[in-house]
Amino acid sequence: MTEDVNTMDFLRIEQLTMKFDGLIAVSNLDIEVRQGEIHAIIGPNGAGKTTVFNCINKFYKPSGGRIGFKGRDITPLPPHKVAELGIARTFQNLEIFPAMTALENILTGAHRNMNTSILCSLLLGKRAAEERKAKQKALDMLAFLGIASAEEKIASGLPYGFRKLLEMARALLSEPSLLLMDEPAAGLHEREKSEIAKIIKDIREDLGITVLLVEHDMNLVMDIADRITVLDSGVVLATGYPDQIANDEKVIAAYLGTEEQ
Amino acid sequence: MWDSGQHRKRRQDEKLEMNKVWLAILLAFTAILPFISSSYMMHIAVMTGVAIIVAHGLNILMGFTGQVSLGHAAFVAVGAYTSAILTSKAGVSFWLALPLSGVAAAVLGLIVAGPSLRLKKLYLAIATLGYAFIVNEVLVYWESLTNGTAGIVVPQVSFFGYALDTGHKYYYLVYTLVILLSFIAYNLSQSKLGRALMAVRDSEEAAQSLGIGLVKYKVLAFVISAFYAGIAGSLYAHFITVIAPTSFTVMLSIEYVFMLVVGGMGHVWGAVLGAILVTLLPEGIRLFIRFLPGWLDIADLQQFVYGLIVIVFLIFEPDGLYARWLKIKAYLERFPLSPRKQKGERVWRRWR
Repeated sequence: MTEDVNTMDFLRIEQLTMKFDGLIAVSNLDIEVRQGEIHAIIGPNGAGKTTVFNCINKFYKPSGGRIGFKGRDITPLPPHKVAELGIARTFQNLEIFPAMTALENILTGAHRNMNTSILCSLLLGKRAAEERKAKQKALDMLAFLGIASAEEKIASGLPYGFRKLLEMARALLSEPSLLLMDEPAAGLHEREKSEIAKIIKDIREDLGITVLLVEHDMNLVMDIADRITVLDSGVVLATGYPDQIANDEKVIAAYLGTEEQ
Repeated sequence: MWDSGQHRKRRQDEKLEMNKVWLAILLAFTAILPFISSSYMMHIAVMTGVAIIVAHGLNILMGFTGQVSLGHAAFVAVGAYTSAILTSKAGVSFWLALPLSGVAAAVLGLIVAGPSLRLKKLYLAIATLGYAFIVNEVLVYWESLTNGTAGIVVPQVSFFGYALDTGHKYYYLVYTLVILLSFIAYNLSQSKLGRALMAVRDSEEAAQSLGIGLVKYKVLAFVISAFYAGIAGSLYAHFITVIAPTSFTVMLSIEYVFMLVVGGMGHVWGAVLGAILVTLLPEGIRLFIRFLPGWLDIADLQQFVYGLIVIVFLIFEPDGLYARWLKIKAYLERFPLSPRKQKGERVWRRWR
């Protein structure tokens, strides 16, 4: 590979391999996410979808390959540095802060955008100018998601749907340029799913955030994704637009089984 | 929804007003306490103030950041010895030695934090216990500096030539710092820094995914926590005026943890209430026993009664005194209505 740093490169995953001892979770993966798109990664259980996410935000140290973000090699960075560059994520099994209030949860999302120094935190507390600004943004976000009444409540006591939105709001308050969403529709019923679909579209349209999501629900993916990458057993089966993927024989075989068997 | 933004805003403002009133009453009480107290009571009050400062520090490390420490007495000891050695042997003024003892303890905190980063929960608890033993050994055997088990005599403090030689006078010095450090701890709990610490406690993965570096904030928690303990150590040393390694035992460390458990871990007011209760408890028991009839002689059972109260407390008030206070307040606010909490409302955040 030549080292041509192209600003058009948004997120480029090249030859990504992740091994756990003997087990190869993903091997030689190539995924390209374009700025401004909603890109979905689908595939059966154990295909390595979440592993890809964990490699991008560095919870795993890839065994091989390179991950470039905005033309910069982020492969050697620790997780919090990746976050500082503007990659936020949500988790498959909700990682909200259970003992903090809803407002505190969301405010924590603003961490990377706040310049409040440690001394300022200690001497001014919530009276710091940045603190007030962030709080206003957080309150707006709560109102936008329709969970303003949860403001002062402890997060662990909130219903599942609230907590899901809360986690998303927290990620959004960090004003990322790329949002990784791990199964945003898992555990939701049909009406909530269509709400989530609308929110994800809004995130892209109104906030201009590129979305990379892992999802099982094919209807949702076909509805909102601009492009789709299909994984199976740690390798890319196909990449393309939704209608291409829907008609791809290999994909159909992986999902439904081949007819001969 | 009936609970409109405006309505909620007004309710919050009312709550804030009430909080200010409570705070004013508390500060007024703190200011006039010496005028209505014996010197014995002042002694206890000063010791309580010292305990409050340590409890705040431990709360930042344990309550906010979730890093267990069973060796906090070691930081207090380093603060006390730093102040003692600087003032008695190097002739440094107390007013310079006081912040320096905080810094010395913070440096130890920095050193201790390094190896602690890889340890969690019980393993971290045992490691901190280990550090405390090491510090105690150093205090015993580095005789040229610490006088070993004989201990150090610490000079009393004077303020522009005015000797703070009684509990009544020393009280104001201690409580000025108690209020200042409580204020800082409160600010921390409501700031970017405090949220980052709580994030590390609640979910290390989520914290990292938001740009919060674990190493930085765990180390910071240790440093700030140790600084508080160091300041408290210095105040203790110049009040008691004789310190020895036996003043800072493992029992003391455990007592600090108990303060947080009794008061309410992870809450600034919890640390204050816990420190007050745990310091007053032995005195209360002593007083109680004195009023018992002579034939019921349980003076020898003081430790037993203490232990019993601890256990009863853990069973019936596991969330601490602060939680009880919140429940009472919630009850009073809705008095004519049902005392039970509203649906979906959790008054208390339980620490795990």
